[in-house]
Amino acid sequence: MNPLLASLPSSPGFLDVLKSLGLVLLVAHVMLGLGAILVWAERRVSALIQDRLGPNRCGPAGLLQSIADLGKFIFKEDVVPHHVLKWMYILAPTISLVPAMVTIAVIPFAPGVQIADLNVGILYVLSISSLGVYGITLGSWASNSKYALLGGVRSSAQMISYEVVMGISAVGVLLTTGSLHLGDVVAEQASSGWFLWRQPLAFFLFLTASYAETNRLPFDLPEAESELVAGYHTEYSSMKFALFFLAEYLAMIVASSLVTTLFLGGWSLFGLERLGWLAGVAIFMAKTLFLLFVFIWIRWTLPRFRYDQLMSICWKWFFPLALANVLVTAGAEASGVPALTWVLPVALLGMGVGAAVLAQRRDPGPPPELAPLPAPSSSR
Amino acid sequence: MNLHLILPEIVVVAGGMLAVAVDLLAPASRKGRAAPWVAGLALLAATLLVVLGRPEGTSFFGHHRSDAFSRFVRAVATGGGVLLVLISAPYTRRMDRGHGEFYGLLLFALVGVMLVGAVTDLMGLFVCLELLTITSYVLAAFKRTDVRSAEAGLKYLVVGAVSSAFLLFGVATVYGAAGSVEFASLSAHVVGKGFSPLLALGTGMMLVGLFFKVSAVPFHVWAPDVYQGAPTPVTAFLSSVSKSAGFVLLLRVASVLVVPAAGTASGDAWVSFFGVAASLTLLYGNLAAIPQKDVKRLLAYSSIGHAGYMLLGLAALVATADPTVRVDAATAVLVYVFAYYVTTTTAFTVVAVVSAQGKGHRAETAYAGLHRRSPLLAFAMLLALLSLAGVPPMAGLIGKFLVFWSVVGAAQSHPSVVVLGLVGALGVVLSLYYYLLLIREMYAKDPSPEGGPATIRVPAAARVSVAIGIAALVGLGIYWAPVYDVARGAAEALFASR
Amino acid sequence: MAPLLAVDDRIVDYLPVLILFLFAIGFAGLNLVVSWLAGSKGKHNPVKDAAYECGLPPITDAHQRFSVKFYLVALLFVLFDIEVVFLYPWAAYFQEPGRQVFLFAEMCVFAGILFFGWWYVVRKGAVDWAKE
Repeated sequence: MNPLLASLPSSPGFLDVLKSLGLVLLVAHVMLGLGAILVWAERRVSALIQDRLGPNRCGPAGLLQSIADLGKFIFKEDVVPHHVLKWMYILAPTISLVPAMVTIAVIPFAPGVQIADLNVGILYVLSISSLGVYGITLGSWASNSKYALLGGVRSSAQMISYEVVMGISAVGVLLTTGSLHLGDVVAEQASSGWFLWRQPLAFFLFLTASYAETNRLPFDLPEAESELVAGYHTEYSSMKFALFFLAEYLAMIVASSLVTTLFLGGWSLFGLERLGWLAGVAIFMAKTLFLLFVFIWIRWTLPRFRYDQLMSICWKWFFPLALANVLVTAGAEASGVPALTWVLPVALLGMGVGAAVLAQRRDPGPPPELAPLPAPSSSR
Repeated sequence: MNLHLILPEIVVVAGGMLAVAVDLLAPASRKGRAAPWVAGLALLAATLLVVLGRPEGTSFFGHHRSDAFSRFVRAVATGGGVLLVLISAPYTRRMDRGHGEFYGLLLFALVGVMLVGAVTDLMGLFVCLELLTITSYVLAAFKRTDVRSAEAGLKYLVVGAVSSAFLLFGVATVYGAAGSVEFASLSAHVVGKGFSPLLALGTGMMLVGLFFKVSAVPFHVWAPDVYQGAPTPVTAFLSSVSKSAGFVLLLRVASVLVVPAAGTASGDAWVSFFGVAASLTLLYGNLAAIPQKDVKRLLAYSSIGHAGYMLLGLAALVATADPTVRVDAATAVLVYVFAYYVTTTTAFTVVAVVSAQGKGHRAETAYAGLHRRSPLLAFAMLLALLSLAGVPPMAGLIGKFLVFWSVVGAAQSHPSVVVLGLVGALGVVLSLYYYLLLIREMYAKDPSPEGGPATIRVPAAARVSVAIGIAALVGLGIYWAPVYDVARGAAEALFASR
Repeated sequence: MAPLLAVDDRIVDYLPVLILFLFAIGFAGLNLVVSWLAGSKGKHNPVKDAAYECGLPPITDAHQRFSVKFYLVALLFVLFDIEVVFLYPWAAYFQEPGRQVFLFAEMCVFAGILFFGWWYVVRKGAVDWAKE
């Protein structure tokens, strides 16, 4: 008999449904609230980095800025220009937002605190989060505007390219754990060390790929302000624009919590998680918030890549590195030599550094049409 | 793991990858020199492995079976592959890019054919067929600056997608009806429970999907355009390898699903199914070939006609209740496939060399007085055409003889099959007419001024291929016992393994 | 033949996912409806309805052909992402005792073919965006 049908008689009790409903509401609201705070934090941190003040009028230190923004989004005119494909245009922001929210379901915040405990774990995360690209592609196509379309096709090409790298770099972690279950991944880290130390190359690749997946600097070409106005959401206004905006921040939150789970030990921190599930959640939140800060920090520190650089980094360097990382890790695991536990991360790091040096030496420089113009000869 | 069982496949895959790699690494001035050698040697090695190695047994958890049947199919694929490489070598020399890809794709397609005989379930069947078909799309459109080639590729892609859809929906329906995709349990299901309407629908859809592949009427419309537009070596590939893979699969599906129902009412329905397809294909192919002026189109329609003869053998296979006649029929189809393979490859070698003159494929210009311009080519074409017509003592005769013999045998348990035999005989007469027209063009006419240079230089690779072809056509016609024995062993294995 | 991996998947486990999914759709939908109801209603005019092109009047529709390179990337994605999917069950099975050496050898062959494909793609210049 079909195993799925076999499980039907043990249908959930009323209490189970109520419990998961409560958890869903709690997590979703925390996420949305965090998203709002993040918008404010981004502006404050950027101000800090650029030595200015940032928003400081709404509430103490401008904390209520996001609420003011929300009001504005609601009461602004909702323009649907005549040249757009109407239904696709309205649907796209929703399609972009839903995957970003639903992905959080399998992240374990503390032992047992998790919306859905799925044994396919990471596979679910990757499959659902990759749906986000549809919202952007549909939105840009439906906008029927050249800037939006350019941003959209760039964005889809970028997201699907880095998705491959993201998928492969997680494999090193999974094969060491021997499970796709995210709870198992965290338990493994709690008992024998964070994957940040054991899989340093995979961590770097995964983190970089998640920056590209969320269209954040240094990979924000889809909405590069200086050339594409706003990229895929050029033609959007009012609440639809806000949903795109929110989806981007929610995707950041999901990416940070995923990195926390896979590489930073999730809810574990030197045994402090034994104090209770609340401690676990706090530890998890602290790590995620730190990663979110790094997102913002990097945005206001690094310049943007050129598109040809973006693509060649992904396909020429990250992809083979990620695959080599899997092979080397599997080889070390299969050899069964205990000393390799310490040699492996060093070897992996060495591989990454070696590739970076090689990439530097083989960089052909910008193509002629992109080279900076010669300095005007001063006739003064 | 029994890796040695798939060693021939591994060799061919490695050869394909190596051909691509070698071509990619070669400096611009030496592009395309090494790829044909690599491909040819890999196929030769695989042929030797298959013929001398005699792999037997199952691997991959029973999903891959090596027996006499799969050995026959693999030998046809690899041995025929060597001939195809010989035809292709002069052609690819004239290309300015894509040599490695051409041979790589050719070898990957051949791997699909090699696996076709060894699959043990419907999923494997589908995957092998897709490996063959998807590579064929690219090969058909290989001359991408040529409008006809692009048209051929596109038409083949669209039709191929439709036929794959038929096949896949058929597989899904059969799985839904019988609860399994494995050949053994499917046969057991048919023996035990007979044909439910759903199972019949699924089987019918699978057969239709395969009829597309072998260009049986009414699923043949793609064949003339694709044959005409594709590069000539690819046309040779499509009409030989691709078609034989289709018939191997038809044999497999028929023996697994249809034969167990023989003698029941649904069994009779299948006899009419195959019988109608066979007679339509025979008549249409041979009639439509008559007015053709373009030799490639002529061979395309003739290949539709030959698919009709092979379907005739299949009709006899499903009609008879006698196991011996059944083996006879399967043997007949396999021998026919082999003989047709040798013949069509020889014919297309000639077409490839003649068309290298750049004067097209029209019978009254490019082929007029061919025997004065190149006696060797004209003689090879003559033998190939006689073999296609089934004139003694050519290879084609053996195939036709065995097919008709099995039809006579099947008539003892299913008298109406005699009608099919008569249709087949009519087809033979019709086909003689248009083959003779072309022969007259080559031997009785003077060379046309538009037909190109007065003497045709035949490249060395084509010489080898023509020599092999002539030897095989005549040799097989006179001394056919070894091929018959091998085919009979394969046919017995086909029924033993299900 | 025993299944390679024990399946302990229950459809009930996905119920919270469904709830979250409905919540997300509801949230997005509600916001759209509220802003549609509460937002000010402006008038349309030709300039406002034109696609935004930094003030220049748009000349053509935006739905035109774009670079074939995007299609190439899409093809590469399909090819390589499917290989990634094959890596996952392999990784989940990797810690099974006594099988690691075999699994490693198997992956070497798999990754070897994958690397070959990658090398071909890079060497052919399919991912060189700066080069025409």
